[in-house]
Amino acid sequence: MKKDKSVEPILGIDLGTTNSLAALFEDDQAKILKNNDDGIVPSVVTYLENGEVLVGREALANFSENPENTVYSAKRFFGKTYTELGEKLDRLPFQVLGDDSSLKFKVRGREVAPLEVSAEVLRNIRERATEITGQSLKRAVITVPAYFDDTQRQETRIAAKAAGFEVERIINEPTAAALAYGIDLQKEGKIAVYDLGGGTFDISILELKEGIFKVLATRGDTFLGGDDFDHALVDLILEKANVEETKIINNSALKIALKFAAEEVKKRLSDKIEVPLSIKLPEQNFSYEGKITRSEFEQSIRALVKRSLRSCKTALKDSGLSDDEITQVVLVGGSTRVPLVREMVQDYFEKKPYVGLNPDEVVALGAAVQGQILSGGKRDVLLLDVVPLSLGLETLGGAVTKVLLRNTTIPVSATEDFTTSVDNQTGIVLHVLQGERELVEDCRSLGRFNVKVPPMPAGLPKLKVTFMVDENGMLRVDAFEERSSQKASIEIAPTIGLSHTEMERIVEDSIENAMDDFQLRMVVELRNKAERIVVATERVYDKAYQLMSREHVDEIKVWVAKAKEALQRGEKNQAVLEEIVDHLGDLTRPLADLLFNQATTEALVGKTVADV
Amino acid sequence: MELTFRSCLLDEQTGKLQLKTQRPDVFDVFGLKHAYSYDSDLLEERYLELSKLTHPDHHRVADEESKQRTIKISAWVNQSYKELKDSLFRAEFLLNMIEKDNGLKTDSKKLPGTFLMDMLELQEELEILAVKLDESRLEEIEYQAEKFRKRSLKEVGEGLDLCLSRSTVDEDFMQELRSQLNTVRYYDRILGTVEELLDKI
Repeated sequence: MKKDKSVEPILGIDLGTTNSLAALFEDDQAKILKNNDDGIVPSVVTYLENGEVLVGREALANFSENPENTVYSAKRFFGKTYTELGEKLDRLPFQVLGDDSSLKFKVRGREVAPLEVSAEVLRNIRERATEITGQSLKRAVITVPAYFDDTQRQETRIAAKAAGFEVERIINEPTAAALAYGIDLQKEGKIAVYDLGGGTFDISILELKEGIFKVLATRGDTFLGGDDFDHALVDLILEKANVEETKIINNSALKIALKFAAEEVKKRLSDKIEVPLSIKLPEQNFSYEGKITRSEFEQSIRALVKRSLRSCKTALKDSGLSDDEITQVVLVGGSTRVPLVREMVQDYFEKKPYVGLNPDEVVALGAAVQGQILSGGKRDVLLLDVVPLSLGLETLGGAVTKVLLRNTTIPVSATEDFTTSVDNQTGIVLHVLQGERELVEDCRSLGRFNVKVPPMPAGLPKLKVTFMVDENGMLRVDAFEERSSQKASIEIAPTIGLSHTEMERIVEDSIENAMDDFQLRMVVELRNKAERIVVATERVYDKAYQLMSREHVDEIKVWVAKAKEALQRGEKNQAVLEEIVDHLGDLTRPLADLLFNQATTEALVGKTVADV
Repeated sequence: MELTFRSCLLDEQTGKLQLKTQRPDVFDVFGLKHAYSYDSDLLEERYLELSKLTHPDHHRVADEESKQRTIKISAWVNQSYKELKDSLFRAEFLLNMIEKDNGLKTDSKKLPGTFLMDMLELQEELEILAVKLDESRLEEIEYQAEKFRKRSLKEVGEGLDLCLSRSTVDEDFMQELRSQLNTVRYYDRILGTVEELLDKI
């Protein structure tokens, strides 16, 4: 029987620069998927020597041992080239390689693309979701910064595909947040969503009416976020510690320690006026003992916050609304916890921001709402999204002619006429571009294709070019030469600094490996468990002989030996390991109970339990 | 008046979206009468209703053909809404329509007599400003150009609505409206230049 795909629930995923999390729509509301925790998976990946990969908190817990092999904020590198980022890379503890068309991280001697790092995070999220819900969830709505261009969106898609997801929709983070807030507020109006995350900033203006969320305008900065606050703080710490910036450039361990220390200080300064700070790293020849005050911090980030307000101004202008028409300002993203950000946003919009929902969760919740709409489960809500950046074609002299302007509601199509500039031209190259600037070199190139035309005098061919953006935001360009009826069209799949074969390899490898990876992880967990039991049991043999029958203890010894043997030969068979762990567990459980009872009794008669 | 705006896109009998070979004109899509001034609340209401009816997210269909049809119709609705809200688009659309309906042909390049002289002076000043980059003067020009543009467009709109309410149309009057409309395009060009210069500062 064919399974009805449309009833499979769709996961909503916020793939953040710093943190990622997933939500699912259940019992008429979106809920964050939590596994006895806050549901947050830090977007941090550590590559271990044995080929294992640690993700999230596990990676964070191990970063100090693997500073060069721990990659964070991978999302900031989407769609960027090494040349573009230049000196910004000095600050990173991990190694970045590349040229003017690519960017890779070098970990454990191999090159990894940013999207491969994000794929690890997404895979972890998928496994968690399976664990929590007990069902394999393959379909997902994934959020991206509104100001991500097509290349960056494409990278997100591939990362998700590599993690084994079917991407049902890529939606903008502030739009997702508005969906969650709009449903939470149950109020019509014009909403400004100020979204300052770990690495990116977005401002979106939306109108909510009769269950329809219409995006009026969106603007942003894909290189402005909490990471920059951290860097500003690191600078501040270095200055206070009287350490030259150059000293840290080749010291990964110090860089990563300072970065995470700064993050911690930043968080604490959200509700304290000053925080004491003590960093002692004798091995790195660094020590600082002192404090950081909130006003010092605020001074160092004020210019960054101001930069975000300039985007707000343009977005407001684009939306055609005036400041006083905005009925609600909502804050999204962890960086909006910084008091200065709240203060400056409030001053700018002259309205107290609404913060009813957790800024870390709201994007994932909104993605889950959109997932529910797409699975047909929610007919009372509809999202009308826009193209975030203008789309156009290269014309004479390296100029860009815009065919679709930014903030146009999708789906949309627009047609423009073009012609030749040289006599007897036999082909017209259509160079598709994205961006607001006037010149080709300042815009993002999305692709080129060639339309054949029969030789004619210049200006005579009549080429109708149609740009069509579907509800997914995917662009398709059709060209039709009227006089000769020549046709050509392309689906724009932007180049992303990776060759086509490279991209296919990443997706294929990871789909194949997804299963292996999962099993490998299980095996590793079982091995660790076996080792823990062995170590714990061997320590208490003497006691065991006093407390239980000789036969039982001998039986335990036999299985401990089996376990040690298996560990030594690096047993990979999950079933074998499971048998050992289960058996050992059963055998040692009565012993553990007996030891616990004895320890309590001994404690009561005044003996120390340390030797138990 | 019987409004049939939904039937432009929806086959009332089958309830399915229908794709016509030609896009219905922007006024017909929303069932609004052909006039420069329109009821914006009514347009908003109809746009939202049509969006709910046509948006692909509410029409998740399996076969590729229906999918493409849904996207195309939804794109029509969005495009029509955008165009209808654009005053210049409305004016131009109606002017062409009246001309066609009455078998008239106006000179599409003509500008009002004194206008060209004023503009030549302004062009010269802008050339100087391109070097001098005087922000306050550029802002002053921007403000004035926006004001004149708005006024011209309003006058054309009023003229068009007057024509539409009458049974006969005077060719000279149409030419006047056309020339006036051309000044709007001229102001747009100036505003573009000014914006570029302001960006440079």
